[in-house]
This record gives sequence, C-alpha cells and structure tokens, in this order.
Amino acid sequence: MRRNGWPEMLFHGLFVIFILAPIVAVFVVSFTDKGYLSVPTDGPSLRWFRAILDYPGFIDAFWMSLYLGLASATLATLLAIPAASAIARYRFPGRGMISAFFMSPLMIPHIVLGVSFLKFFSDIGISGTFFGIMLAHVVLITPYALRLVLSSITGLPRDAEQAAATLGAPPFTVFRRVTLPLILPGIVGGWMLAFITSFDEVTMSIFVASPETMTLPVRMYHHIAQTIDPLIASISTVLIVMTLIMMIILDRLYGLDRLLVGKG
Amino acid sequence: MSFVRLENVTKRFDRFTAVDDLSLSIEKGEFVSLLGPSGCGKTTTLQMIAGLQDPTAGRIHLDGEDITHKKPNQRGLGIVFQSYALFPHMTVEENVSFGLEMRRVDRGEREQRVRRSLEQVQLDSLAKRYPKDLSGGQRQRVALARALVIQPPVLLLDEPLSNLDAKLREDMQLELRVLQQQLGVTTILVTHDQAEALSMSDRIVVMNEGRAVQIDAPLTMYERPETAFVSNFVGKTNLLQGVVTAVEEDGATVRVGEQSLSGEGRGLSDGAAVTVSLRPEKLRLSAQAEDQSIPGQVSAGIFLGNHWLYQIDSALGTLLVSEANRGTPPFARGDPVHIHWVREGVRLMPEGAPRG
Amino acid sequence: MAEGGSPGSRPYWLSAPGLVLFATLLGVPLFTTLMLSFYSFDYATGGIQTDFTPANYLEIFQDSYFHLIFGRTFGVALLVTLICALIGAPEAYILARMRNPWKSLFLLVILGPLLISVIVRTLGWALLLGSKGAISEGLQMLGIISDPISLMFTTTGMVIALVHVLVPFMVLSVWASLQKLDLQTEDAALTLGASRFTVLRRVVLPQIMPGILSGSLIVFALTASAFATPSIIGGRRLKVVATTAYDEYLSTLNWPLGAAIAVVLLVANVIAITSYNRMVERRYAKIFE
Repeated sequence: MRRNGWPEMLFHGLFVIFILAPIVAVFVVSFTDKGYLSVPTDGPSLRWFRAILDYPGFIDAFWMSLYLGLASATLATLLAIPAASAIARYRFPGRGMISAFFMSPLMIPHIVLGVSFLKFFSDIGISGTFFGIMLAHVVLITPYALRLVLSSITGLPRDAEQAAATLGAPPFTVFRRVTLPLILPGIVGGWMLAFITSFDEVTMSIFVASPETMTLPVRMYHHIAQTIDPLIASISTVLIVMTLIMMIILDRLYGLDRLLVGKG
Repeated sequence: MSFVRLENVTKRFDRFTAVDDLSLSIEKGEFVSLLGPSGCGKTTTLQMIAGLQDPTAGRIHLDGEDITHKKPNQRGLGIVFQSYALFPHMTVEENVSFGLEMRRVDRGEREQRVRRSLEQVQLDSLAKRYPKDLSGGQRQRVALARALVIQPPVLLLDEPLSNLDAKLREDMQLELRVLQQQLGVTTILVTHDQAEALSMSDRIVVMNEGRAVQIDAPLTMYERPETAFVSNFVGKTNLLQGVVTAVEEDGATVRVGEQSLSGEGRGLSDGAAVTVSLRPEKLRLSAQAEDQSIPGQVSAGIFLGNHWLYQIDSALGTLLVSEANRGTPPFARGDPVHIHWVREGVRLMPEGAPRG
Repeated sequence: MAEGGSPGSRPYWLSAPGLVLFATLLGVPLFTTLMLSFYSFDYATGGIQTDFTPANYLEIFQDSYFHLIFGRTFGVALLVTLICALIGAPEAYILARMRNPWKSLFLLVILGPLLISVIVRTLGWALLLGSKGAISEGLQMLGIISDPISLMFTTTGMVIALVHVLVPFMVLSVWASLQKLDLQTEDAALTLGASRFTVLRRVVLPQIMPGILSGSLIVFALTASAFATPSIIGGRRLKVVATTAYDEYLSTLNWPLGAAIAVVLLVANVIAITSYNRMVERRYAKIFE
C-alpha cells in the first residue's frame, strides 16, 4: 500500500492540531496562578485545582453525575440485554418496529426530550427528583447499550452454544458458561458507553434537574453562561483526565472505533 | 533480445529482503509462472514489474525500454489482482471500459472493444450487472477482460484462480491458457499452486526466500529438479538422505541406509551427502521380487479414482507409491510387496537436508 | 432462525420491560408536548390556556423572527455538514493509509473527543475564540490583523466550534466505509492508466460516498438540534432553534410556544433523517450489499 505524501501529512497535522487545540487550551489555562484567564508563565500552579474543593456545588454535582451515570447505565444495560437477545435471536412480527422504537431516542433532539420530560415529570409530580432524572437518562442511553449488546449477540456463533448443548449442558449452564463470556465485552462496552453518555449529557438534563439534583455538566453550563474563569478550566481538566483514562480502558477492551461505530 | 528483462532486482523492506538479486528474461508471447510458498517474494516481484513497488536495486526492462522507475499508470500493463479488485460501483461494462477511458479512446471504438473483450470471456450477456451480482468465476473473467481490453504488452496475473473452487479452477486454467495463446500476450503468473504452474506455463520460476531457485520448463522442472526444495515443492515425492559411493557418467550410486541404489544427477562427488528423490509414480509394486527391488509391507492405501496411493514400509523407510487403477484393488493393508524402480526414476541432488 | 418454528411470545416477554418503560417515558411525554404545543399562553397572567389552537405554529411559520432563527439554524447546520465532509473524509482516508501504531493512535486522538463532555470542548473554544484567545493573538503575531478580534458571539466562531464537536462523527462514518474498501481497486485503476487524482475521484470517492452521506446526515441532525455549543459561543445574540426553545421554557415561561418550536424541530429532524435514508438506500442498494 502506498504511503501518505507530505501534503497529506500536512493536512493531517493541521487536522490533529484543530482537534486537540481546545482541549489543550483548557488544560493549559487550568494551571494558571493568576485570578483571571491566562497562560501560566511562571510554571504550572495547582491553585485552581485546590480551589475546586472550596466549591461544594461542583463536588456535589460530580457525585450526582456519578451516581446518576452508574444507576442509569446499569438499568439501561439490564433492559438492553433481554431486548437485544429477542431482536438478535428471533424473527417475530413487529421485530423491526420494536428495534426502531428502542433506537428512536437517537433521532430525537435532546432539547425535545428535555422539554417533554419537564412537562411530564411536573404533571406526575416527580420533577427535579433523582428518580425522574434517572428515568430520563435511561431512555436516552438505552440505545447505546442496546446497540453494542445487540452486535455482540448477533456476532455470536450459534454453533458454540449448540456444541455445549450436545455436550450435555442444560440451557442455563450454556448461557452462563458459553453465551455470557462471549457477549460480556459487548455488555461491558455498552454499559461504559451508556455511562459516559449519561455523565456528559447536558441539554436534556438542564430541563429535568433541580438545584438539588444538578449534574456536573449542567452546573458547568450555568457557570460558563455567567462567567468563564480558571476554576471552570481546572474542573474541565479533571474531567479530561478522567475521560482519557476511561478512553484507554475502553480502547483496550473493545477498540474505540468498533465501540463508536457499533460494529460487532 | 528478450521482451521483459529483470536484472539483479532486489527489494528490501526495513530489515526484510523480499526479493534478493533476481534476474529473469522473458520472451515475447511466453507464459512464465513465478511459483513458490507464501513470502517467497513472488508477489513483490510482480508488483515491481507492475510499478506498484519500487525496487531497492536492479533494473526492469520492457521491450528494450528501462521502466524501473516508471509510474504504474504509464506502463500500460494488464493486471489481474488476487481479489480481482473490480470497482464495486461500476457495472461490468464500466469496469472493462475504464482503462480505455483513461487512454481517451473515443466512445464508438470503446464500446466496440469492450463488447469484443466481454465476448472473449463469454460475459457479453452480463454487461449491465454490478460485480456483487456475479459469481466468483464471472468476477474473475471481468477482471481478465478489464486487463486485456487495453491490449497490454504484458499480462500480470496475481494468484488469479486462488479464490475459485477446485473444479472451476481447472476449467479456468485451460481457458486462460487457450486465450493467452490465441492473443499471444506475454504473461507472468504468480501462484503458490504447483499444479497451476505446471499446467499453464511455458517456463516456471521456482522462488524461495526471495531468490529464483530454478528456472525451467514444466516438464524439466518436474523430471529434473535441481534441489530438494524444488522436487518437494513441484509435485509429490519421497525424499531420502544418502551418501555417494561411486560417481558415474550422468549420475552416481548412493547408499541410503543399508540399501544401495543408482540414479541420475549432476555435480556429485564421492562421499558427498545427497538427497534422493523418488516420485511415487516412478515406483512400481509387485508381489514377486525382481532385480532392482526391495521388499516392503503395505501400511496404508487410499483410493484416488484413477490411481491408488500406497504407503509402504521398507528398508528405505516409509515410501509413497502410486499405482494406476486397473479395476481391482491389488494390495491390502499388511500385504508383503516388492518395490521396483528404474534408474531414470531416481533423482540425486547434491544437498543436505531438504528445505522448505 | 436456529430456534426453529414459531418463537411464540418469548421475544415479546424479553423486550417487554424496555417497551413498557419506553412507551411510558417516551410516548406519553412526547404526546403531552404535542398537546401542549396547541395550547395558548396568557402573558398577562402567565397561565396556560387549555384551548386548542394552531396559533403557535402560525406564529412560527409567519413571524420573521422565527424565520431568521430557523434559517440560521439550518444554514449553520448545512455549512457545518459541508465543512465536516470536506475535512473529515480526507482525514479518514489519510488515517486509513497510515500504519500501526500511528493509525490506532490518531484514531484515538480524533475519536476520543467524542467522549469528552461537549461543555468542556466548547469551553476550550470559548478560550481560543475570545479577543485574548490564541486565535486573535496568533493572527496579530502573524500580522494578519492589527487589533484583537473576538470570534465569540459570531457565526464563524459557532461554526468552528460545531465542526470541532461533530467532525469525529464524519471521520467515524467514512472510516467505517473505508474498512470495506478493497485497496487493490486503487492499484487496479492506477495500472489501467488513471492518474492519482482520477483514482481518488472515480474509484475511491464513489466507494466511500455512502460513508460521507451517512456521516453528513448525523452531523446535520446533531448540528440542527445542538444546544450547549451554540448557547455558549453564540450567546443571546445568535439564537438557534434549540436555544430559542430553551428561552421560551425557562425565561419567558411560554411553554406552549416552546413546545411548538420543539415539535417543529423534531418533525424536521425526523423528515430529514428518514427521507435522506430512503434516498441513500435507493441509490446504493443495488451496488453495495
């Protein structure tokens, strides 16, 4: 195969700079020792990282986002596994519609989901509660979990299960010893993608969160809408580093392109 | 003056030498096969001729012109790729027409030549189809038509039949050879399948580890392999290790284990280690002893339709012997037999352990 | 299927928990919002009248203020889609021709930002686009401009940030179609006499077109409904559909009008996606499996 020439490499270089520029900008600014946005000239300072601890609003929002992500991703995955096995394993009337229905949140703008949940939750009296936000997030992230679980079940060789069955394994043992280990990467990948999507979601959450149940991205949004200061940069840097770690784990586990394309 | 000439061509990748000092001359209209196991450098050689790889050293000449560093799109060679590399977004017709468009052949002539080319490969009825609607054999023909329609001085075939099933492969071998002779186009075939090389070529270049091990006509290659590698790679054979006891005019007498036998070969000297090649079809079995025979016992036999293949335990070790099928199964497992051979059927090669 | 015979009710039981949840949490709220969009809002009392009137829709379709906002939103979405295709497709192609480990590394670099919160990425652009940001400083240093410029609250700034947020989807989509590309077809075209440029135009481009088209669809749909990035970079000055709906709900408290805006956005999105899908499928079904 031919290699890329210098024009290609130049283009690639500029593209990568473009992709990394804003992330690097946040990273650099967060290490300033000044009280305003600036590039740290006298070496990196951790001043604004220590400052995070003085803003319990952000700390609480972080824990809120974490619990919310854990709960909703787990719930979404638990819903996705049986649904995915139904869609992958059976041909039945309404199969296409059911699968499209499960995927439909991907087609709906988050702002539309947000306003719809706002009205619905206030109608049934759970607006602003953790339970409400969690349900909203489950709906939002189930397609991501479903897509990965689905592709891992679809790609599963049936003969391995049949071999286990002919060797005398009862159905549940077949599931536990053969099926589950084979689809586990899909389940774990689906869960993680669902978790990240929930953790990062901002548009819909703005409508369903109350001051007590505010997630980290929502709090950050409101903060940025008021003022952009080094504090928000340092919080962002913490998020970047955490995402980076998660990304490397995901890539090792599943391959980032496969995870995001959703191919099995 | 040869038509295609490779002079000391070498290709190195980082640390690995894919093709090592290869020289080869091909006459106009000749069909030459590059035969060897995977990784022997045969495909790299083809790609250098096509211009898809740059040689590290050496020259390549086509019809007297040095084309070593000419761009692939200016060489005008016809190539059939292993994957066929058909353009999936173009119909059969458009695929074949592509090379003519690149040559700015005008529309009328283009259509005519495309049609004629498709007729040659019996695909004229499928001109409007897309590649995905064709069978493997049909795709192969499209690739061939696409390569031939530009009337290339040289046709390069990179394992063109390896994706076809066995029956179709044999049919295509014959068809390809007939077409090649009709058109008289100089052809270079890359293959790892010795049967393919034997059946189609005027000459075969057996390659191993980047080097040309032997260059000969198919029959010579089969009958008089110069190394154990060639004898083992081209056709089926029994390889035995022996020592020369007496050099003769066109061969020698050698000792293999306790057994002495005489055979043909070159470059032999007294006391030298030799590899003895006994082709299974050059051996014969009988119930009675004759001169030049050794006793053995049938340990297994399989039926292959037109012949039987036996495995015989003997003083020379375990030998494969093939016997024509004459209607009745002559030997059964455990039968005592005698193995005969003639001197012409014993090939001696001055070499140590067989490689490859 | 391997199960053989009729699957009976089993697949329905298996998907039932998800279906029930989705029906309640997706069906009901969306229907409620649709209903809400036909109510009217009394500015004097701040109350919602449960009458049934198309007034909100008439306002959206007749008021030039909404024309401007919808026009801006779809215009920006088209521009962002075009830029993403123009830079994302070549990048995916270059990436596919790289060798490992560089290939995997840069794929990670380019796709990774998808997992970083959009707020963080937008914040980065807010830092770069401001009058004291790297872009202004850089252009001054190069002597292209003499006074600091701010791209904050400009369409240009919004487009730059949105391209950054969405271009990974384009790369991903083209990347997926490149995985199916037989690289020998490029060699084949080359040996048939095509120039590098002809190979790209006649052989590579048509084969990755499905990827570019599906990437465009994703980018367009997501740009048209983007909220956080236009809100932070565009601010109050450059409203788009999503930020307008947000203001109707949380500032003006005119929920019915906000609901109508949301419904129009949703319907436009669904129409765009389904018609586009159908068009692409019809065009490519006969060529690619």
